[in-house]
Amino acid sequence: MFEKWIYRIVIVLFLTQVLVPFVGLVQFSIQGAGTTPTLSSFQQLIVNPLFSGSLLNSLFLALCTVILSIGIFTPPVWHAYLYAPKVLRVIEAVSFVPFVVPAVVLALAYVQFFSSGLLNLVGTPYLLPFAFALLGMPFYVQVLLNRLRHTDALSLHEAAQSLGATGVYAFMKIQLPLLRSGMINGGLLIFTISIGEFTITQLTTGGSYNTLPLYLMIAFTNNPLEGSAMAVLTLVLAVMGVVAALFFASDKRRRVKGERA
Amino acid sequence: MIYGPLFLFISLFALIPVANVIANSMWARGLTFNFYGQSFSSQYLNAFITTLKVAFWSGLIGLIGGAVVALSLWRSKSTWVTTVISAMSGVLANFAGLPLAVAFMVTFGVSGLVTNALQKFFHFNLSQTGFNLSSSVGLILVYCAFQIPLAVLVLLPAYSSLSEDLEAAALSLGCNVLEYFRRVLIPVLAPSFLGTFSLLFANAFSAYVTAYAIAGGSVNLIPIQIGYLINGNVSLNVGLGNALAVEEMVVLSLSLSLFVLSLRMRKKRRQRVKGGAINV
Amino acid sequence: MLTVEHLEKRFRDHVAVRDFSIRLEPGEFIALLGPSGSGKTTVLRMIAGLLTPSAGTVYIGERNVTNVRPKDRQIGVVFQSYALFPHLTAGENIAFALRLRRVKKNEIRDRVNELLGLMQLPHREHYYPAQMSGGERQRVALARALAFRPPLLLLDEPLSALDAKVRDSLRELLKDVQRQTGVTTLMVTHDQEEALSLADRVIVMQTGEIEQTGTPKEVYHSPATAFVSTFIGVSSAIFVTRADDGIHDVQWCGYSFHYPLHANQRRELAAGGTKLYVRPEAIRLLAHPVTNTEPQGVVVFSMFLGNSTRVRVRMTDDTLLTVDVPSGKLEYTEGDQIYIQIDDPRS
Ligand SMILES: Nc1ncnc2c1ncn2[C@@H]1O[C@H](COP(=O)(O)OP(=O)(O)O)[C@@H](O)[C@H]1O
Ligand SMILES: [Mg+2]
Repeated sequence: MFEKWIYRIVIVLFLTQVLVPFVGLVQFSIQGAGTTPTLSSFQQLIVNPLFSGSLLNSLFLALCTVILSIGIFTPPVWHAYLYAPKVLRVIEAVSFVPFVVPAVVLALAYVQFFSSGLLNLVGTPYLLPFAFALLGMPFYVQVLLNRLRHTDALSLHEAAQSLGATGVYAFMKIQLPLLRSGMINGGLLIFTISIGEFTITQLTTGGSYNTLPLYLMIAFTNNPLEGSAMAVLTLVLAVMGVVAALFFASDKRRRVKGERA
Repeated sequence: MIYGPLFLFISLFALIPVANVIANSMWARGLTFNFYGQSFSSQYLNAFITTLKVAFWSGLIGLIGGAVVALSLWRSKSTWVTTVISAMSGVLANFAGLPLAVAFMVTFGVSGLVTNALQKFFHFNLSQTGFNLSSSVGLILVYCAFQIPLAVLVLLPAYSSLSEDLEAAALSLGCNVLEYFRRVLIPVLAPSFLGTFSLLFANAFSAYVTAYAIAGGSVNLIPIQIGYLINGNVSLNVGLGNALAVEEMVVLSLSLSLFVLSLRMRKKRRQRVKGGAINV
Repeated sequence: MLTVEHLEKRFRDHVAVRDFSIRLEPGEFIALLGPSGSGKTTVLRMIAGLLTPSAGTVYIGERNVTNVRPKDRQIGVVFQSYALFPHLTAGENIAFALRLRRVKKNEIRDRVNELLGLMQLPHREHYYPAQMSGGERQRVALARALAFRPPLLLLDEPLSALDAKVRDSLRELLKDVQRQTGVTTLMVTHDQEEALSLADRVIVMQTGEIEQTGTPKEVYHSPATAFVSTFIGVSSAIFVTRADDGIHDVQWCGYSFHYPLHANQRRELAAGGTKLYVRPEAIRLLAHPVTNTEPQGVVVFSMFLGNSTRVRVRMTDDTLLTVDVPSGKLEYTEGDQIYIQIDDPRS
């Protein structure tokens, strides 16, 4: 049918628009300006100690951020959801701060506020996990809340308490397993955000701490071939992250079905 | 108390530093609006206008493109194509940033894929036409690469929330498909379109990485100017940076209000009268 | 007015509707009755042109419209979900089809007011659908479908989303409106009471096929198949042969009586015997036999229902009969020995 064909053409155009830069990137990373394809840019990258150093730094930072986020955000969101809907509204509103305060402004604020006295942290990487956690907060809170709403945590909790479980026991045995998938999905989002963060890292550390995006920028400026190889690797990582999240999501659905059967 | 760490975190890493910025934007040994005055002088006023322009056009193109693509996905009813494109859009909209900028630079660069292809198949020399990625137009082009996917992600659920009976009703009353789009689908989804636009606008207005990587110094944008002030590329004037930051936050708050307004409109239409509130 | 011939719809290898043929005379009100999933909506959508049939033809008058777009069929459709346009007020919803047809402004206004009056909605013109109750929305949907004076009206479960009280009053309104406008109407429903009370003719459907077509009285009193007898009301199945007294229609356990028979049943009777589905109110209980031919049984169960008492009787040949005894008559309790008579529901 005529209408169907228009939709197909639109979808193909969209795919072209999306894929052209990436095909261009991959092609450039293996061919450069020359004519013979080679993987040498990838080889160079892998043996480069600066690259592996920045990779380790990024992974470490991301891990710290994930732990920090799970620790700071999970208990209050859970508790407010069950017992204090008004506080929950405040938490939700506050979690949207990054939408009004973009990364550049946050960096400017940090550079001034953390530049003296006890909290003289500008130029060090110690601020970064907190900053990344703040940037990821809206996503993490929403994922967790979706999970809580989806499973009707409230009635489960009340049922457990009516059966005589104490608050702590009910939390450990019933709520924690229930929150686990929310924590994994939210954590994955935080991880991906942390791995890719550039603005605050560059502006608050002044380049003293090398992370993947920072090194990508430097590498691309010095040697576009190496930079584009690295961009390819970063994108592959991001795609893997999203596929993993999708996998977790589908796994969850299967388990729910099993429970009902 | 269980909320202690969270509110300490929020205060220390968001509220107090930001309040400090606002205070410092109008305080230098006494109340002053000099910094705001400077921020509306030629160079910074230009930056403001350029940023608005880039955010507006990339938001509008992103909205229209995303609306058309999401509509096509929704109407073609293929679940697996939708899943694949949603996953792709998720990567592009949220995590691409710097790699995306790099991809555009090499693809449109001197020996990039697009440049070569245009030369080879159309004997068209891209660089001779004066086209340059590091210009407002180039930046809008690159922004669209994440704005359109973001719009697709946001609008897909809006389309699927439309009842199929609505279309059936319109057709039986005498619409053809285009009239259905114009008279029913677009007005019904107008709040969603408005919300999506405000999201895209805010997204582009605060974008830093892509602009920094692609345009660097050659396009005058507010986030880039703030970054320069922090890095000390410009004779350090923290007060001016603060004023620019406050202005940026004001614009973002306005677009967030627009978003909240669109949510309200959506809710109002869906609202159901329960019990006998407005019964006969 | 509407003729449908051998309509069929397949979804992949699943047949939703097969060999569906009907004919509606002008001004007729027909109900398509069947359980959920029996293919009623599918039939309706094919007639409206919203779904392409796998086979078969649809005529409106003499015109073959099988491949005509919905907009050119001029059929009013009312959906179960109302499908009102949420961005338009009640008045604008009703005016929608007229605006599309570029009717003059003052004519539109008159028509909208006329319909609002007819639907008893005078003060709702400027309300949005979200501000109205379910019953009001359904009336707006009906007015919207009638606004352009379509010769044919299709209703998909128009009352089933409403609560009982509103449903009753809307049922009367619907009947009134249909009579006043004289629009030929095909209504889909799974509610037998709705079908029997509103329609001139009822089509009973199951798993995509027509089981029986007839007036409400016909399908109620002489269901053609076991499915129809159980889907519409309650009945007891008994196996009857041709009465040998030459007066009555049928005979059961030596007892002859009159009962309306369906054509199929008459054919089967000629060939030996047939199953008869007897309604509970057609059976009368007697403490003593009148003619000495009445079959005998024992009351095994009784339940008070308000205006009647439902009694279950086990006959000597082990057949179970369900009987409704009007309240105020003689009461029976479990274990009572009784005799039964079967009345002709036509008399
Ligand atoms: N779009 C569709 N795709 C596949 N199967 C369908 C579709 N629409 C209806 N069916 C199937 O056709 C049968 C009849 O459906 P329907 O006409 O909606 O029944 P009713 O209206 O009587 O409840 C059902 O078994 C249903 O599952
Ligand atoms: Mg149905």
